[in-house]
This record gives sequence, structure tokens and C-alpha cells, in this order.
Amino acid sequence: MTQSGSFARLRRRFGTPRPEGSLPFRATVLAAILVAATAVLREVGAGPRLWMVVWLGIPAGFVWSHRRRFERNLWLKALLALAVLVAFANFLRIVSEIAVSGAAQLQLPLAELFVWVQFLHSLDVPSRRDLLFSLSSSAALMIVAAVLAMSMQFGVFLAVWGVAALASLGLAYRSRLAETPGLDRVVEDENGQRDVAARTAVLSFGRSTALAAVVVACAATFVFALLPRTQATTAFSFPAALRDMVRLPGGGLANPTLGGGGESGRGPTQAELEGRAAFGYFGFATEMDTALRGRPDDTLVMRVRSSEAAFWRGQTFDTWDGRRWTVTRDRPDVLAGRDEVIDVPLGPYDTSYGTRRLVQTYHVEVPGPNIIFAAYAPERLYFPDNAVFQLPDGSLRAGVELGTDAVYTVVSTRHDVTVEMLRASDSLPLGIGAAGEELYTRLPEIPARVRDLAADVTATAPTTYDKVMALQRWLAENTTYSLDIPPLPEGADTVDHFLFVEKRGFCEQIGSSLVVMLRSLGIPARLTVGYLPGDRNPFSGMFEVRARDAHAWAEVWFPGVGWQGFDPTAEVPLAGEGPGLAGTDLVAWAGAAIPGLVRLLPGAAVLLAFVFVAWGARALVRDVRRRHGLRRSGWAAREIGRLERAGRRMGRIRGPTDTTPEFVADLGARTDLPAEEIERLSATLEAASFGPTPPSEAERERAEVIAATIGRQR
Amino acid sequence: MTSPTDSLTPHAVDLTDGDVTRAAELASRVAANLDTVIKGKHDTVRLVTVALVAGGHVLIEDVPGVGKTLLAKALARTVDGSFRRIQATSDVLPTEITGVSVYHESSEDWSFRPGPIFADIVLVDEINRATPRTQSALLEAMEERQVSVDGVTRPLPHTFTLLATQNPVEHVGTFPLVEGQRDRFLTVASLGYPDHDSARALLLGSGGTRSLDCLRPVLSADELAWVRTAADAVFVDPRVADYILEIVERTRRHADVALGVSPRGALATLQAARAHALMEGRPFIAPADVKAIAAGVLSHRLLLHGGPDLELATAIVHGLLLDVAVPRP
Repeated sequence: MTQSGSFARLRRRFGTPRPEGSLPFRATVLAAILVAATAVLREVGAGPRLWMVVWLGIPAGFVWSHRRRFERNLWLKALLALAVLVAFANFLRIVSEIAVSGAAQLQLPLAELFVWVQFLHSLDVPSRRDLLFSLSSSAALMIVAAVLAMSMQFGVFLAVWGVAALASLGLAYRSRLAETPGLDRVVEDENGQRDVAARTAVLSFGRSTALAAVVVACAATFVFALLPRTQATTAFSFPAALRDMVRLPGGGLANPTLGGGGESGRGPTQAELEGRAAFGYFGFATEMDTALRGRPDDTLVMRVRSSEAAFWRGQTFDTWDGRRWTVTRDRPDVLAGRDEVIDVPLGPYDTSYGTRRLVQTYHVEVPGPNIIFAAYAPERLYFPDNAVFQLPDGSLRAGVELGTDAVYTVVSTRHDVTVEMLRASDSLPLGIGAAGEELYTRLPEIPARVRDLAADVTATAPTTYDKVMALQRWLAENTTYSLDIPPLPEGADTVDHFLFVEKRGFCEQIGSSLVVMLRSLGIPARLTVGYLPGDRNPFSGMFEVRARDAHAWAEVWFPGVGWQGFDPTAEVPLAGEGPGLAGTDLVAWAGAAIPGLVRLLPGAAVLLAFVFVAWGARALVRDVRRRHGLRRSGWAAREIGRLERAGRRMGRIRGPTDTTPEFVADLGARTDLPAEEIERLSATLEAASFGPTPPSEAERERAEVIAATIGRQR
Repeated sequence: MTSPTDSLTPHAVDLTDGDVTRAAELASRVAANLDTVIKGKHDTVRLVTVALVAGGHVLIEDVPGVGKTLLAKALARTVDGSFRRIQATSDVLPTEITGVSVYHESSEDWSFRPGPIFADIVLVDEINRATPRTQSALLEAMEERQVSVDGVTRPLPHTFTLLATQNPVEHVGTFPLVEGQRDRFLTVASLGYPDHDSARALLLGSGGTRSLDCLRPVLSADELAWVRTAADAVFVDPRVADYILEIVERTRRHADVALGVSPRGALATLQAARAHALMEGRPFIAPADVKAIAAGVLSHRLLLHGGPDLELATAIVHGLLLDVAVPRP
């Protein structure tokens, strides 16, 4: 008390806790860690280095930290902190490489990080608190192993780990009790009647562990038995659902979001467009007027679960009249299916499926057109109706309204397209027949300067692919993207006006220009409308498609490859991007954010220092207030309240003028507890209530044991 | 504060556990010493010890022949310091207590010759036989711990403790202490008749005056000063202070009480509770300390409607203790 109490408190708070002396406790924690680490290493198939770290390093670390448990080990702590940072940096490096290369092996580096941290931590576990922390991190390892586990052999590890963990918990409690001063004296009291506190506090260790093991095993078996088992057959189906079945006139296009003109499927006029929903896109109609202006808003129209990003294609336009795109082949076939599974054949103007499957599940958020969106090229459809309609260009339409919460799944096939494949396709036969070639190269009368421009730009390009790229480059260099352009003058050609007059436009103008110029060169091309992939939600892993993601782009025919999308408006890669691993987006985001975080470090350090100082100031203020007795002692009030409840049960009700010692002495007289223990409890309670400094933790623990013993009396 | 020779700076120190243990041990030595002389009066002995530790003065009020003077002498012997006894009569002059200035012809100078009040323990026997003039000279000495003679103020030792006795039954030729004077005693102790066993022991030759001769001092003057400093350092929780004040304020509202306890009485209660806590080995006051000393410290300060009656006053204080709720954490 001569020393300022504040410093003593700070030292208590930050000082090293008492070193743990119990060897059995240490050994059981080590066993739990070894079992958990082994389970993880087995599942990830780790190399010999990690096995050595676990089976030689961790035990050595435990022996080391047991021997040095009385030291302060400051240099070791600093070294360990550094090593943990290195391990984490290494992990981040590996993960960022994985994110780039697209491999799905995140498990091994993660397991490696866990094992290294476990090893480093094992070098500095002097106290019970540290050991218990080790034990809980071994639980984390077990969870990792459980996620990766593929056979029942994991159950063996789980059982062994459970026994080790339970045993160490029991030993930890026993070791804690052993520290409570004087309790051993109570235990050794020769009078058999007087060891109530000891008997109730120190349960037989072996018996309690066995009891806990049995209880845990029974509860686990019970829960396991009750859990429904996943039906294996459901794995072969994909989500498909519809809330209301509203039939549409057979095969036609309906788009309620476009207002009055939408019902017929015809494109709206500018006047009609004013009545559309804010998220309606005028491209989802059988006719699209490029003179129309006005873009959809940010409404979330659908979510797409897909392992990779792709254009969610809606339909294609084949005929151009200088201002409008039209679907002329608007007589669909009926595709019938069974059990909501519909096989989708290739259209007449298509050659082959791709080589790789891509599954997309579409969750409709707001009612939209009855277009069934799909990544190119759909092969199979899981749809909540027994038939859908397919247009000659391959576009799919539903026979029902696709309202909110409608769900359907498309299995598409994809080519892993490379530039070489596209360049080589020029030597192959066209493959869509004369009718197809005619349909997709047909142009109305267009201004000569458009044709000349296309010819000039592509003059040096040897292949179709290079021609497309040359035109795209020209568009990127000579036009700009803008949503805010004036109306098309009456009688003007959209493409001519965009390329030579306005030089500004959005996807309809840009896409149409590319298609028209390609057609002028005799290359089959068409305008496709649909949605951009949208932003991927890093937590749900789903692409969130908004109305503003509605898009028009060009598709160019490459023999042997099929229709290949080119988006002159935006930079979207040909094939999908990145691996389909759940955590990759998050990791990629974190990787991108790390430099920013590093810049934030000095600020964070200052903030941390501030928090620390504030905490210290608060502790100091509390200390001063306590010394002036302004703070009510919560601990004493709680314990006294417990004793008073016990007293009511025992028939000794505390009067308002009874002091705590008087009351506690009366209670104690009704128990078998030694009088000195009762007096000690009173002294601790009074010191906590009215003393200048609170009693020590050991004193409080001891008082709690005695008070609890009194509370259990009948 | 670790040793009795430390500088005496009250309120500026924290008590260590060792200090508390030592102080409790010193006090229990005093009580044990007194117990060998005053048989069977443990509570009174304890109250007197509390007063000694608290630095208060004690008035022993009882019928003749029960050992008032014996207790005072035993206490004086227990403390190894200077001891003076004043046998009060109506012709004792104030200067005979405080001291006088004397002219020395040889040096042609005045010098002060201290009176018996300049001692560690002063026993004023039969204090109500002294004239009010002499009594009020004692007043200043008790309260201010100083005396003023010929315009010069002279301090008394820190360990100065006044023990007084009086016989309340005798009225002839006495000057009863006025209220203000009773208030200056920390406690009024009464011994009462000894119980049968103690009386028999007295008759058979143990205890009493004979054992007084065997009494050894157990507390030096330095130690007494140190214990008093330690008592000043005992911690008081505001809720405990509130508890004391509540009891004190209740005495002022009590129906049987004409004049309740003064703030000085409240301070005395606090000081006595501090001493009691120290004797219990506690560095802080618990409600139990207040309960233990309340009657001994407060009773003689109550001016009752029905005239002086220490027994009734004591009962009133005990009644209040059964009425005022103890503080809770």
C-alpha cells in the first residue's frame, strides 16, 4: 500500500501470469495439439517438412517453454512475433500467386500457416492462460480438418482429441484450485465433517473427465442421429423454381418492364418509353430503335451463381435498317423436357458445343422479360416448366412470366478460346450455310464512307480476328463513350452519325457500328443484348446483376469456334476470369488492399497508442475514485447478494442493520465450515466493500469458494 | 510508516499490512496489561484502549471503590512515559496545573516552571471537586493540546492523554462538569461492581492494587505516538462516514434527547472507529467498528430531557444502532 495502487494494478493487468507448473496439464494440451495438427496434415497431404515441424518442433517447443516458464523471455517474444509476421507474409504471397494462376489449392498454405503458428506459439506457453489458448487453437485446427475430411477416419482423431482436450480442461481447473491459498489445509483437515469446501470444489479429476466424455459422446450421437442426411440424387439436379405460373401467349416475347408497347414484343417508341419501369431496357424486345435514349437504373434485377463471369446473353438481332435492329426469325420451336430438365439443341446457325461446362443459376429479383438468359452456348436447362421456346438464333424464351423469385439453371458449354484458335478458324469452312451467311452479312443501303472506313481500318489485318481487333481499336481511339448524347436527327443513319458526326455514344451505337462495319467486309456478325456479369459479392459468391448492366455487344462468327462476343464498349475478357474458389475474391480484394493498409499503419499505431493511453487513464481514474471510495464494489455486492439469497433459503434473513460479518457468521454457524474460514470470508467481503484497495484475486477466489459452499447448504 | 521512530505526519501515509499488524499487536498488549489489573471488565478496558489509540481523553465515572483510580494508574503504568497525578480539590489553582513563571533573582530573569499537565499521561482524580475556573484551564489543555500562561502558549506532548475520575453520586462540595467539558472526553467509562468471581479473586489476592505493582510498561511514548499516527491513516469509505453521520443526526432528532451530538462528537466517533479498526487489524473502518464504539463515544454527549442518565443515554444509542441501516457495498 506504500506503493501507489495504480502501478500495482497495471502490473497485475500486464504482468506475466503465474507460470504453470502442472506437467500432466501441459502434456494433455500437447497431445491435443499434436492430434489436431496430424489430422490437418493428413487431410491436406502435407510434405515431410510440415510433419517434422509438428512431431519434432511442437514437442520441443513445449519442453523449452516448460523449462523457461519462470523467465521473462522478452527477446523470445519479440522473435516469435517477427516469425509469425514472416509466416503470414509468406502465406499472403502464396495466396496471391494462387489467385493469379487460378489453382484451387488454398488448403495447403492455410494448413501450413496454422501449423507454423502453432509451432511458434508452443515456444512461449509459460502460463495456464497460454496453454488454454493453445488448446482453443487446436480446436480451430480440428475444425479445419473436419472441413477437409473425406473419410470416417477423422472420427478417430476427433475422439482422441476430445479426450485430450477434456482431460486438459479438467487439469487446468485443478491446477487453478491448487493456487487458491489455504485450500489444501481445508482438504487435510482431520475432521471428516469439515472438508465441505474442498469436497465440493475439487471433484475427483478422473471421474469428472470420464463423466464429461460420456455426456459429450451421448449428446453428439443424439445430434448426429437427428440430422437429416443429404439425398445423393439431389446432387444431379439444379435449382429451378417459380412462384406463380402465369402463361404467356405461345412463344412470343413479353416485357412488362417496357410499358404499353412491351406486350406485343415490339420495341417501344420514345414516347412509350417514358412509361417504362426505371429498370426496363429497350433492347429486350423484338425490335430495338437505336434512336431511343434513356438508360436503366441501379435496380438489382437478378443474382447469378456461376463459377465464372460471362455475358448473360438474352437474344440477338439479325436485321439492320440503318436505325432499328429487328428479330426477323421470330418463329420459335418448342423445346419440351421432363422433370423440369430441358435439353437445348444447337440453333441452325451454330456448329458445336464447347468443351467445358459452366453452370449458372439465375435468381430473378424483379419481374422482367420472358427471355431466358444464358452464357453461350446453353446445352441443358433446368426450368420450372415442362417446355420453353427456342428461336432460330438459339435464344430461349419462357412460356411463363419470370416474376420475382423465379429460379432457373443453365448448363452451358464453353470453349477455352485462344487467339490462335480464332486466327486459325479463317481456314475452316463457314458452316452456317448460305442462308446463315446471307442473314448475318445482310445490310441496307449504308453511306459509302462507312464502308470505306471499315476497309481502310482493316486493310493490313490478315485474319478475321485481326480485323475485328483493328476495328475495335479504331473505335476506342476515335470515339468516346457517353450516356448523355442528343437525339438522333430525323432521317440520319445511326452508324454514320456516330462514326463521323457525333463520335460519342453508348453500347448500342458502338456495338451496331462494329457489326455494320464487319458486315460491310462480308464477315457474319450480329448484335446481341443481355447483361454484363455484374459485381461479384465476395461473401455470397454470386454475381449481382443490375439493370444498368443491360448491354449490347457484337458477336462474330468464327468457324469451328462459334459465335464469339466482342465488346468494343468495355474491356471484358473473352473467356472467364479466375478460378471458381469461394475465398479467392476476398483474398484478391485483401491482396489489393494490403498496400493501402500498410499506408494506414502509422495512423493505426497512433490510434492504438491513444486507445492504450485512454485505457490507462481510465484505469487510473478508476483507481483514484476507488481510493476515494466512490466506486461501488460490484464483486462484493454480488457475493453478498448470493449469500443473502442463501440465507433466505436457510431461514436467516439479513436485517438492514446486520453488518456483513454478523450475518455471515450466523450463516457459517449453520454449516460445517471452520469458523476461521467464515471470518476470512467476512474480512474479504468487508475489505472489498469499504477498504482502500480490493482484496487480492487469490483472496477473492477463496472467498468465492467458501461463499459457494455456504450457498449449497440446505 | 514502518517504525515508531518515523516522522509523525498524519494523513500523509498509507498503512502497510505490517503496520496494521504491529499496531493491532501493540494495542492488544495494552488491553492485556490492563486486564491483569481490572478483572472481568473487558469491554471497559477495550474502550479505554480505543481512547488511548485514538488520542482521546477518558473520564471514568463511577461510585467510589470500584477501581477508577486503579484503572487510571494501570493505564499510566502501561505507557512507558511521564506520568503526573493531580488530586483535584476546590483550592487547586489553575496555575498549579498548568505551571507558573518564576523570577530568578540570580539571573534577574523569569523562567517557566511547567505544571503537572506537561506529561504523557495525566490523571486528574475527582475532577468535579475542582473549581470551574480550574476545570476550564483543563479545557484548553484537553482540546488544544496546549496551555497559555502569562500570554505565552506552550504545546503539550503529542502523547498527552488526560484521565479523569469523578463520583457522580456525591454532590456536596462538587462542581459538576458542564456539557462542554464532558464533550471533550472521547469516552466516559464506568466500571460498575465486579462480578462474583472477579471480586473473589480480588479478595484472594490477585488483581487490584497488588497486581498494579507487578505491572510492566508495554508501550513506549514513541510507540504510542506512532500508533496514533497509524490510526489517523486508517481509511474511511464515504459510505461509512455517512453511516456515522446518520447515527449522529438521529441523536439530534430523538424524542428523549434535549441536545444531540455535536460535530465534535461525530469527529470523535470517526477517530474512535479508526482506532477500533486498527485494533481489529484492518486498515479501513468497517460498519462493525462504528457499532462497537458508538455507545461508548456518544452516550455521554447526549443531554437528556430527564437530566443526566448515562444508562438511558447508552440505551438510546443502542436503539439507534438497531434502527440505522448499515452501509452496503
